[in-house]
Amino acid sequence: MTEVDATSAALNAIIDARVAPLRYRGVFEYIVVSQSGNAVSAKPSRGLEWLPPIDRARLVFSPLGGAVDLPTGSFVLVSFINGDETRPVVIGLTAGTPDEITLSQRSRAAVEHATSAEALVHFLKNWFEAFAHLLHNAPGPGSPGSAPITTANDLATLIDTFQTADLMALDAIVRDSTSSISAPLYAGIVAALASKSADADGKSPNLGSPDIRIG
Amino acid sequence: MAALTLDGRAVLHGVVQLPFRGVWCADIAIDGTDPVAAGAHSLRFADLPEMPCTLVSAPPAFGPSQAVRVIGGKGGWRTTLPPRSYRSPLGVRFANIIADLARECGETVDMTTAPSGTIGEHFIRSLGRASDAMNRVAPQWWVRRDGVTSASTRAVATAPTPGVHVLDYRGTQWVTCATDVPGILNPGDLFEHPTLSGRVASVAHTIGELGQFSLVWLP
Repeated sequence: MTEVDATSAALNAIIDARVAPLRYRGVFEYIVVSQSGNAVSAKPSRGLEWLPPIDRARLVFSPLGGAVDLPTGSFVLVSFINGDETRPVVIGLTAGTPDEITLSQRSRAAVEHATSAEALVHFLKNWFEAFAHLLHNAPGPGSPGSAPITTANDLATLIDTFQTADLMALDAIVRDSTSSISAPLYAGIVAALASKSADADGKSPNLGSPDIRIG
Repeated sequence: MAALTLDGRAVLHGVVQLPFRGVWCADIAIDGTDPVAAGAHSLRFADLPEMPCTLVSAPPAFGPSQAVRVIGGKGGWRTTLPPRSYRSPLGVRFANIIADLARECGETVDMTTAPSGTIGEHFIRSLGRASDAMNRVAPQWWVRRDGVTSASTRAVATAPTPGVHVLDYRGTQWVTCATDVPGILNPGDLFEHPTLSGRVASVAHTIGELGQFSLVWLP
């Protein structure tokens, strides 16, 4: 080894030692080997041989209270919280799609395919619009001409659709002419459901509101 | 008798660096041109115990002496280790990580000095030098004179080392001194003098034509 080589090697060793704590401040691509619940075991993808496989790192991009099933071999993003090598987490997908996303509501679970995740968001958005509308129209105590029983029933039924993720029941509400949901909202939701139902193969994202096919 | 020897061969001149943490090393020129074999050797100050070490560099002899560099222990902390990951729902123990490091790099660690407790549910050891991984789990590790690695910080001396004579100051933190027993000062020792005192951070024991002296760093 020449003097230049030795000096270079020594400098490299010093730099390596100094940057070692920074190695984990990044996002790294891993390949899923297995999954158990929200714990994912994965191996580093090509070019990351300096990293070891991770064993049962926590999956943090699934919905709160829910779970995402990743197919073996899919590419995921692994990061380390605060650059700490003791805290690896799986934060996303780089290629492939989840086999299934499960949303849990107490003991009941609604299962939707990943491609319908956007639809669920639209569902929730419209559900809350209807909920807000009901609250807005709810008469105050003692106000003349109030119909509190009807509103309460509507509210209870609406809540039940949320708890069961029962789109048919939601549809029934908006089609009920006696409901206190306003006619424009009723018409809008019906039209949205109809247009989405017409999207037979489900390839038109963001079509309809809520973006879920009924039936 | 020579103040410093390597395997019984007199050291003509050189420096033995004792850092506060990490591996100690010696850049020395020994008497004679016989090549120094690779592997384990023993460095020794005249009145002190042997210091097991490993040859890491020995350029061709020049003149009547042979220059060599040796480092404390078995030279394992310089080796590159493959990546490895740990996981335990009860927490990964520091001792397990350190024991694996020692076994894989061939060093001896005094496991009674390993930190107790756990580092977390996971620990990722990336490809790299064993010393880098050791820095992550036991930042204050150091190699003792007997070649065994301690995973905890050096003990604090409670009394100043006797027989230390200040020769010169370099700035406000470097002190050049002679000692009655050559090579006796260690990092962590208490250094007391009317004009300067403190805890020794590192020592460079120097052997030269003018004799032996120690350069002490007081932070």
